[in-house]
Amino acid sequence: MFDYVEALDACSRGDREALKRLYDVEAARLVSVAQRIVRRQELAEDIVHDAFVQIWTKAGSFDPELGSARGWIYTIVRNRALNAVRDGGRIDLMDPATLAAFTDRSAVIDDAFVQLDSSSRLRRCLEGMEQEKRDSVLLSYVAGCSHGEIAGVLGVPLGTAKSWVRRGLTALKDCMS
Amino acid sequence: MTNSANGSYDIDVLAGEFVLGVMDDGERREFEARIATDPTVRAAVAAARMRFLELDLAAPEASVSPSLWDRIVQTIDSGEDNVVGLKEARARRKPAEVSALSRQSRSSFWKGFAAAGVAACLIAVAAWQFMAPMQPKLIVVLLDSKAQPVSIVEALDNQRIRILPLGPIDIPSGKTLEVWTLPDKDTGPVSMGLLNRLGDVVLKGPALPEPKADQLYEITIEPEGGSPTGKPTGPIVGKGFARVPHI
Repeated sequence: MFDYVEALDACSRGDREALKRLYDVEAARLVSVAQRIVRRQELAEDIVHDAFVQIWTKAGSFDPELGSARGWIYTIVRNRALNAVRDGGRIDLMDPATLAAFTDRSAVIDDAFVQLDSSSRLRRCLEGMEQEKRDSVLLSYVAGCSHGEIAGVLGVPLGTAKSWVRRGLTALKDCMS
Repeated sequence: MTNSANGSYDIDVLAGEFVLGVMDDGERREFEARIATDPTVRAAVAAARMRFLELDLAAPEASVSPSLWDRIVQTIDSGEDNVVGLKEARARRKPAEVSALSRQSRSSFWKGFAAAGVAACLIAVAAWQFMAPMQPKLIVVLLDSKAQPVSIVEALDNQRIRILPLGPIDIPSGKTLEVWTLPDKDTGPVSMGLLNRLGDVVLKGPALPEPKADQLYEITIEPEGGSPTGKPTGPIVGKGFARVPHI
Protein backbone atom coordinates (compact mmCIF):
# COMPACT_ATOMS: atom_id res chain seq x y z
CA MET A 1 0.00 0.00 0.00
CA PHE A 2 1.42 3.36 -1.04
CA ASP A 3 2.08 5.67 1.90
CA TYR A 4 0.81 9.06 0.73
CA VAL A 5 1.51 10.86 4.00
CA GLU A 6 5.10 9.67 3.97
CA ALA A 7 5.47 10.75 0.32
CA LEU A 8 4.16 14.25 1.05
CA ASP A 9 6.38 14.47 4.09
CA ALA A 10 9.41 13.52 1.97
CA CYS A 11 8.40 16.11 -0.68
CA SER A 12 8.29 18.81 1.98
CA ARG A 13 11.88 17.86 2.86
CA GLY A 14 12.89 18.31 -0.78
CA ASP A 15 12.97 14.62 -1.77
CA ARG A 16 12.46 14.65 -5.53
CA GLU A 17 12.18 10.85 -5.68
CA ALA A 18 9.11 10.99 -3.46
CA LEU A 19 7.39 13.33 -5.92
CA LYS A 20 8.26 10.95 -8.75
CA ARG A 21 6.76 8.04 -6.82
CA LEU A 22 3.53 10.01 -6.37
CA TYR A 23 3.59 10.88 -10.04
CA ASP A 24 4.07 7.26 -11.09
CA VAL A 25 1.19 6.10 -8.92
CA GLU A 26 -1.33 8.88 -9.59
CA ALA A 27 -0.56 11.04 -12.65
CA ALA A 28 -2.48 8.98 -15.22
CA ARG A 29 -5.63 8.90 -13.07
CA LEU A 30 -5.28 12.59 -12.19
CA VAL A 31 -5.15 13.49 -15.90
CA SER A 32 -8.34 11.50 -16.34
CA VAL A 33 -10.05 13.33 -13.45
CA ALA A 34 -8.97 16.73 -14.81
CA GLN A 35 -10.09 15.77 -18.31
CA ARG A 36 -13.63 15.03 -17.12
CA ILE A 37 -13.82 18.69 -16.14
CA VAL A 38 -11.78 20.51 -18.78
CA ARG A 39 -12.44 18.03 -21.63
CA ARG A 40 -9.20 18.63 -23.54
CA GLN A 41 -6.33 16.23 -22.87
CA GLU A 42 -3.53 18.79 -23.25
CA LEU A 43 -5.24 21.18 -20.87
CA ALA A 44 -5.76 18.30 -18.43
CA GLU A 45 -2.02 17.60 -18.58
CA ASP A 46 -1.25 21.28 -17.98
CA ILE A 47 -3.42 21.13 -14.89
CA VAL A 48 -1.66 18.03 -13.60
CA HIS A 49 1.68 19.74 -14.31
CA ASP A 50 0.66 22.76 -12.22
CA ALA A 51 -0.76 20.48 -9.54
CA PHE A 52 2.51 18.58 -9.13
CA VAL A 53 4.46 21.82 -8.88
CA GLN A 54 1.99 22.87 -6.18
CA ILE A 55 2.27 19.51 -4.42
CA TRP A 56 6.06 19.95 -4.42
CA THR A 57 6.04 23.47 -3.02
CA LYS A 58 3.08 23.08 -0.65
CA ALA A 59 3.50 19.50 0.59
CA GLY A 60 4.34 20.89 4.02
CA SER A 61 0.96 22.60 4.22
CA PHE A 62 -1.05 19.36 3.86
CA ASP A 63 -3.57 19.36 6.70
CA PRO A 64 -4.78 15.86 7.70
CA GLU A 65 -7.76 17.46 9.45
CA LEU A 66 -9.20 18.27 6.03
CA GLY A 67 -9.02 14.77 4.59
CA SER A 68 -6.54 12.10 3.54
CA ALA A 69 -3.22 12.82 1.86
CA ARG A 70 -4.41 11.11 -1.30
CA GLY A 71 -7.62 13.16 -1.17
CA TRP A 72 -5.55 16.35 -0.86
CA ILE A 73 -3.79 15.55 -4.14
CA TYR A 74 -7.09 15.01 -5.95
CA THR A 75 -8.52 18.18 -4.39
CA ILE A 76 -5.62 20.19 -5.81
CA VAL A 77 -6.22 18.80 -9.29
CA ARG A 78 -10.00 19.24 -9.14
CA ASN A 79 -9.72 22.83 -7.87
CA ARG A 80 -7.22 23.72 -10.57
CA ALA A 81 -9.45 22.17 -13.22
CA LEU A 82 -12.48 24.05 -11.85
CA ASN A 83 -10.55 27.32 -11.89
CA ALA A 84 -9.55 26.67 -15.50
CA VAL A 85 -13.16 26.24 -16.66
CA ARG A 86 -14.59 28.97 -14.42
CA ASP A 87 -11.97 31.44 -15.67
CA GLY A 88 -13.64 31.07 -19.05
CA GLY A 89 -16.20 33.61 -17.87
CA ARG A 90 -19.92 33.40 -17.32
CA ILE A 91 -21.82 30.93 -19.40
CA ASP A 92 -24.47 32.07 -21.81
CA LEU A 93 -27.32 29.59 -21.79
CA MET A 94 -28.82 31.16 -24.90
CA ASP A 95 -25.69 30.41 -26.91
CA PRO A 96 -26.22 27.27 -29.08
CA ALA A 97 -22.49 26.41 -29.07
CA THR A 98 -22.47 26.42 -25.27
CA LEU A 99 -25.55 24.25 -25.14
CA ALA A 100 -23.98 21.80 -27.61
CA ALA A 101 -20.95 21.54 -25.35
CA PHE A 102 -23.25 20.43 -22.54
CA THR A 103 -24.37 17.34 -24.36
CA ASP A 104 -21.26 15.36 -23.45
CA ARG A 105 -21.68 16.10 -19.74
CA SER A 106 -24.30 13.43 -19.22
CA ALA A 107 -22.01 10.84 -20.82
CA VAL A 108 -19.19 11.86 -18.47
CA ILE A 109 -21.28 11.32 -15.35
CA ASP A 110 -22.77 8.05 -16.60
CA ASP A 111 -19.25 6.70 -17.20
CA ALA A 112 -18.08 7.81 -13.76
CA PHE A 113 -21.07 6.13 -12.14
CA VAL A 114 -20.57 2.74 -13.82
CA GLN A 115 -16.84 2.86 -13.04
CA LEU A 116 -17.64 2.70 -9.33
CA ASP A 117 -17.15 -0.75 -7.89
CA SER A 118 -20.41 -2.70 -7.80
CA SER A 119 -19.97 -3.34 -4.07
CA SER A 120 -19.31 0.34 -3.36
CA ARG A 121 -21.41 2.00 -0.69
CA LEU A 122 -21.25 5.28 -2.60
CA ARG A 123 -22.62 3.52 -5.66
CA ARG A 124 -25.50 1.98 -3.72
CA CYS A 125 -26.34 5.32 -2.15
CA LEU A 126 -26.27 7.08 -5.52
CA GLU A 127 -28.46 4.33 -6.99
CA GLY A 128 -30.98 4.86 -4.23
CA MET A 129 -31.30 8.59 -4.91
CA GLU A 130 -33.82 10.25 -7.18
CA GLN A 131 -32.22 10.75 -10.57
CA GLU A 132 -32.33 14.55 -10.61
CA LYS A 133 -30.48 14.74 -7.31
CA ARG A 134 -27.94 12.11 -8.36
CA ASP A 135 -27.33 13.81 -11.71
CA SER A 136 -26.98 17.24 -10.09
CA VAL A 137 -24.39 16.03 -7.60
CA LEU A 138 -22.44 14.03 -10.19
CA LEU A 139 -22.52 16.84 -12.77
CA SER A 140 -21.03 19.07 -10.15
CA TYR A 141 -18.38 16.75 -8.69
CA VAL A 142 -17.37 14.70 -11.72
CA ALA A 143 -17.94 17.11 -14.61
CA GLY A 144 -17.16 20.28 -12.65
CA CYS A 145 -20.44 21.99 -13.57
CA SER A 146 -21.53 25.17 -11.81
CA HIS A 147 -25.12 25.60 -10.65
CA GLY A 148 -25.81 27.48 -13.89
CA GLU A 149 -24.36 24.71 -16.01
CA ILE A 150 -26.32 22.04 -14.14
CA ALA A 151 -29.45 24.08 -14.84
CA GLY A 152 -28.44 24.22 -18.50
CA VAL A 153 -27.75 20.49 -18.82
CA LEU A 154 -30.89 19.41 -16.98
CA GLY A 155 -33.07 22.13 -18.50
CA VAL A 156 -34.37 23.57 -15.22
CA PRO A 157 -34.24 27.03 -13.58
CA LEU A 158 -31.13 27.95 -11.59
CA GLY A 159 -32.94 27.81 -8.24
CA THR A 160 -34.11 24.27 -8.96
CA ALA A 161 -30.57 23.15 -9.80
CA LYS A 162 -29.25 24.64 -6.56
CA SER A 163 -31.94 22.93 -4.55
CA TRP A 164 -31.31 19.55 -6.24
CA VAL A 165 -27.60 19.80 -5.41
CA ARG A 166 -28.39 20.57 -1.77
CA ARG A 167 -30.92 17.80 -1.44
CA GLY A 168 -28.57 15.41 -3.20
CA LEU A 169 -25.78 16.27 -0.75
CA THR A 170 -28.07 15.70 2.22
CA ALA A 171 -29.40 12.39 0.87
CA LEU A 172 -25.89 11.15 0.18
CA LYS A 173 -24.63 12.12 3.60
CA ASP A 174 -27.57 10.49 5.36
CA CYS A 175 -27.15 7.30 3.33
CA MET A 176 -23.42 7.03 3.91
CA SER A 177 -23.26 7.86 7.59
CA MET B 1 -32.72 18.18 7.27
CA THR B 2 -32.66 15.59 9.95
CA ASN B 3 -30.20 17.60 11.97
CA SER B 4 -31.31 21.12 11.18
CA ALA B 5 -32.18 21.81 14.80
CA ASN B 6 -28.57 21.88 15.93
CA GLY B 7 -27.23 23.47 12.77
CA SER B 8 -25.07 20.55 11.67
CA TYR B 9 -27.26 20.09 8.60
CA ASP B 10 -26.17 23.48 7.37
CA ILE B 11 -22.53 22.76 7.97
CA ASP B 12 -22.68 19.47 6.09
CA VAL B 13 -24.51 20.98 3.14
CA LEU B 14 -22.12 23.94 3.04
CA ALA B 15 -19.13 21.60 3.31
CA GLY B 16 -20.59 19.57 0.44
CA GLU B 17 -21.10 22.67 -1.70
CA PHE B 18 -17.57 23.79 -0.86
CA VAL B 19 -16.09 20.43 -1.90
CA LEU B 20 -18.20 20.31 -5.08
CA GLY B 21 -16.94 23.78 -5.96
CA VAL B 22 -20.37 25.34 -6.56
CA MET B 23 -20.08 28.23 -4.09
CA ASP B 24 -19.73 31.74 -5.44
CA ASP B 25 -16.64 33.73 -4.43
CA GLY B 26 -18.27 35.45 -1.46
CA GLU B 27 -19.75 32.25 -0.04
CA ARG B 28 -16.45 30.46 -0.51
CA ARG B 29 -14.39 33.11 1.26
CA GLU B 30 -16.82 33.20 4.14
CA PHE B 31 -16.73 29.41 4.44
CA GLU B 32 -12.92 29.33 4.22
CA ALA B 33 -12.81 31.64 7.22
CA ARG B 34 -14.97 29.15 9.12
CA ILE B 35 -12.69 26.30 8.05
CA ALA B 36 -9.72 28.19 9.47
CA THR B 37 -11.31 28.68 12.87
CA ASP B 38 -13.78 25.86 13.47
CA PRO B 39 -12.70 22.21 13.88
CA THR B 40 -16.32 21.05 13.36
CA VAL B 41 -16.33 22.68 9.94
CA ARG B 42 -12.96 21.12 9.11
CA ALA B 43 -14.31 17.70 10.03
CA ALA B 44 -17.37 18.27 7.83
CA VAL B 45 -15.14 19.23 4.89
CA ALA B 46 -12.95 16.17 5.43
CA ALA B 47 -16.02 13.90 5.54
CA ALA B 48 -17.46 15.42 2.35
CA ARG B 49 -14.14 15.07 0.54
CA MET B 50 -13.77 11.46 1.56
CA ARG B 51 -17.37 10.71 0.52
CA PHE B 52 -16.71 11.80 -3.06
CA LEU B 53 -13.08 10.75 -3.46
CA GLU B 54 -14.06 7.28 -4.64
CA LEU B 55 -15.45 8.80 -7.85
CA ASP B 56 -11.95 10.07 -8.65
CA LEU B 57 -10.16 6.91 -7.61
CA ALA B 58 -12.46 4.81 -9.82
CA ALA B 59 -11.52 6.85 -12.90
CA PRO B 60 -9.58 4.90 -15.54
CA GLU B 61 -5.95 5.87 -16.10
CA ALA B 62 -5.50 8.22 -19.06
CA SER B 63 -2.59 7.89 -21.44
CA VAL B 64 -0.17 10.64 -20.51
CA SER B 65 2.44 12.34 -22.68
CA PRO B 66 5.85 10.92 -21.79
CA SER B 67 7.19 14.49 -21.53
CA LEU B 68 4.86 15.52 -18.71
CA TRP B 69 7.20 14.50 -15.89
CA ASP B 70 10.14 16.30 -17.55
CA ARG B 71 8.05 19.46 -17.78
CA ILE B 72 7.23 19.25 -14.09
CA VAL B 73 10.92 18.83 -13.22
CA GLN B 74 11.88 21.76 -15.44
CA THR B 75 9.40 24.05 -13.74
CA ILE B 76 10.55 22.98 -10.31
CA ASP B 77 14.21 23.45 -11.29
CA SER B 78 13.56 26.91 -12.68
CA GLY B 79 12.50 27.91 -9.17
CA GLU B 80 9.89 30.24 -10.61
CA ASP B 81 7.11 28.36 -8.93
CA ASN B 82 8.93 27.61 -5.71
CA VAL B 83 7.24 30.76 -4.75
CA VAL B 84 4.94 31.75 -2.02
CA GLY B 85 4.33 35.36 -2.87
CA LEU B 86 3.24 37.83 -0.26
CA LYS B 87 -0.32 37.93 -1.50
CA GLU B 88 -0.66 34.18 -1.37
CA ALA B 89 1.07 33.96 1.97
CA ARG B 90 -1.39 36.48 3.39
CA ALA B 91 -4.33 34.62 1.89
CA ARG B 92 -3.20 31.43 3.54
CA ARG B 93 -2.80 32.95 6.93
CA LYS B 94 -4.98 31.62 9.64
CA PRO B 95 -6.02 33.85 12.49
CA ALA B 96 -3.94 31.71 14.83
CA GLU B 97 -2.68 32.71 18.20
CA VAL B 98 1.05 33.18 18.40
CA SER B 99 2.33 31.01 21.16
CA ALA B 100 5.81 31.01 22.56
CA LEU B 101 7.97 28.09 21.57
CA SER B 102 8.39 25.41 24.14
CA ARG B 103 11.78 25.09 25.76
CA GLN B 104 12.02 21.61 24.29
CA SER B 105 11.62 22.55 20.63
CA ARG B 106 13.79 25.58 21.13
CA SER B 107 16.72 23.63 22.45
CA SER B 108 16.60 21.02 19.65
CA PHE B 109 16.37 23.92 17.25
CA TRP B 110 19.66 25.39 18.41
CA LYS B 111 21.24 21.95 18.63
CA GLY B 112 20.52 21.63 14.89
CA PHE B 113 22.59 24.69 14.25
CA ALA B 114 25.49 23.55 16.33
CA ALA B 115 25.60 20.25 14.48
CA ALA B 116 25.64 22.00 11.15
CA GLY B 117 28.80 23.82 12.04
CA VAL B 118 31.11 25.95 10.04
CA ALA B 119 32.34 23.11 7.82
CA ALA B 120 28.97 22.86 6.15
CA CYS B 121 29.06 26.57 5.67
CA LEU B 122 32.40 26.49 3.85
CA ILE B 123 31.31 23.66 1.56
CA ALA B 124 28.08 25.43 0.76
CA VAL B 125 29.85 28.66 -0.06
CA ALA B 126 32.28 26.82 -2.34
CA ALA B 127 29.41 25.18 -4.17
CA TRP B 128 27.48 28.39 -4.36
CA GLN B 129 29.24 29.89 -7.37
CA PHE B 130 28.52 26.81 -9.49
CA MET B 131 24.90 26.58 -8.50
CA ALA B 132 23.80 30.16 -8.92
CA PRO B 133 22.22 30.55 -12.36
CA MET B 134 21.87 34.28 -11.93
CA GLN B 135 24.29 36.91 -10.74
CA PRO B 136 23.06 38.05 -7.34
CA LYS B 137 22.92 41.78 -6.73
CA LEU B 138 23.64 41.28 -3.04
CA ILE B 139 24.60 38.39 -0.79
CA VAL B 140 23.66 38.07 2.86
CA VAL B 141 24.97 35.55 5.36
CA LEU B 142 22.37 35.15 8.07
CA LEU B 143 23.80 34.51 11.54
CA ASP B 144 22.08 33.10 14.58
CA SER B 145 22.29 34.58 18.08
CA LYS B 146 25.63 32.82 18.61
CA ALA B 147 27.00 34.37 15.40
CA GLN B 148 26.93 31.01 13.61
CA PRO B 149 25.99 31.10 9.92
CA VAL B 150 22.50 29.75 9.32
CA SER B 151 21.67 30.52 5.74
CA ILE B 152 22.76 32.47 2.69
CA VAL B 153 20.30 34.80 1.03
CA GLU B 154 20.94 36.19 -2.44
CA ALA B 155 18.95 39.19 -3.59
CA LEU B 156 18.42 38.45 -7.31
CA ASP B 157 16.47 41.59 -8.09
CA ASN B 158 13.92 43.87 -6.42
CA GLN B 159 11.47 40.97 -5.92
CA ARG B 160 13.24 37.65 -5.87
CA ILE B 161 15.58 36.17 -3.31
CA ARG B 162 17.31 32.83 -3.28
CA ILE B 163 17.84 31.00 -0.02
CA LEU B 164 20.32 28.28 0.78
CA PRO B 165 20.28 26.94 4.32
CA LEU B 166 23.65 26.04 5.75
CA GLY B 167 22.43 23.31 8.04
CA PRO B 168 19.33 21.60 9.34
CA ILE B 169 16.74 23.86 10.91
CA ASP B 170 14.33 22.23 13.30
CA ILE B 171 10.94 23.76 12.52
CA PRO B 172 8.55 23.11 15.42
CA SER B 173 5.33 21.44 14.34
CA GLY B 174 2.61 23.89 13.42
CA LYS B 175 5.23 26.53 12.64
CA THR B 176 6.81 27.80 9.48
CA LEU B 177 9.84 29.88 8.53
CA GLU B 178 9.22 33.33 7.11
CA VAL B 179 11.81 35.48 5.36
CA TRP B 180 11.85 39.24 5.86
CA THR B 181 13.74 42.24 4.64
CA LEU B 182 13.87 45.84 5.80
CA PRO B 183 14.00 48.05 2.70
CA ASP B 184 14.00 51.14 4.93
CA LYS B 185 12.93 52.10 8.43
CA ASP B 186 9.78 53.91 7.31
CA THR B 187 8.44 50.88 5.41
CA GLY B 188 9.36 48.48 8.19
CA PRO B 189 9.94 44.75 7.72
CA VAL B 190 8.39 43.25 4.59
CA SER B 191 7.67 39.52 4.16
CA MET B 192 9.40 37.92 1.19
CA GLY B 193 7.41 34.71 1.70
CA LEU B 194 7.30 31.46 3.59
CA LEU B 195 9.91 28.71 3.50
CA ASN B 196 7.81 25.58 3.33
CA ARG B 197 10.83 23.39 2.87
CA LEU B 198 14.56 23.69 3.28
CA GLY B 199 16.66 23.59 0.17
CA ASP B 200 17.68 25.79 -2.70
CA VAL B 201 14.55 27.92 -2.86
CA VAL B 202 13.70 31.08 -4.76
CA LEU B 203 11.00 33.23 -3.20
CA LYS B 204 9.20 36.00 -5.00
CA GLY B 205 8.09 38.75 -2.69
CA PRO B 206 6.41 42.05 -3.43
CA ALA B 207 8.10 44.52 -5.80
CA LEU B 208 10.39 46.66 -3.63
CA PRO B 209 13.04 49.29 -4.34
CA GLU B 210 16.32 47.80 -5.61
CA PRO B 211 18.07 46.09 -2.68
CA LYS B 212 20.96 48.07 -1.20
CA ALA B 213 24.15 47.26 0.66
CA ASP B 214 23.55 46.89 4.42
CA GLN B 215 19.86 46.07 3.91
CA LEU B 216 18.68 43.76 6.69
CA TYR B 217 17.39 40.25 5.93
CA GLU B 218 16.13 37.82 8.54
CA ILE B 219 14.28 34.54 8.98
CA THR B 220 11.81 34.08 11.84
CA ILE B 221 9.65 31.25 13.11
CA GLU B 222 5.99 32.05 12.59
CA PRO B 223 2.67 30.21 12.96
CA GLU B 224 1.79 28.02 10.00
CA GLY B 225 0.54 30.19 7.18
CA GLY B 226 2.82 33.05 8.17
CA SER B 227 2.87 35.87 10.68
CA PRO B 228 -0.69 36.80 11.67
CA THR B 229 0.23 40.48 11.88
CA GLY B 230 2.17 40.86 8.62
CA LYS B 231 5.28 41.73 10.68
CA PRO B 232 7.77 39.37 12.34
CA THR B 233 6.37 37.98 15.59
CA GLY B 234 8.40 34.85 16.33
CA PRO B 235 11.98 34.06 17.36
CA ILE B 236 14.72 35.02 14.90
CA VAL B 237 16.44 32.05 13.26
CA GLY B 238 19.10 34.22 11.68
CA LYS B 239 19.72 37.70 10.41
CA GLY B 240 22.34 39.56 8.43
CA PHE B 241 23.15 42.64 6.41
CA ALA B 242 23.51 42.57 2.64
CA ARG B 243 26.90 42.88 0.99
CA VAL B 244 27.76 43.60 -2.64
CA PRO B 245 29.66 40.61 -4.07
CA HIS B 246 33.06 41.31 -5.56
CA ILE B 247 33.01 38.95 -8.51
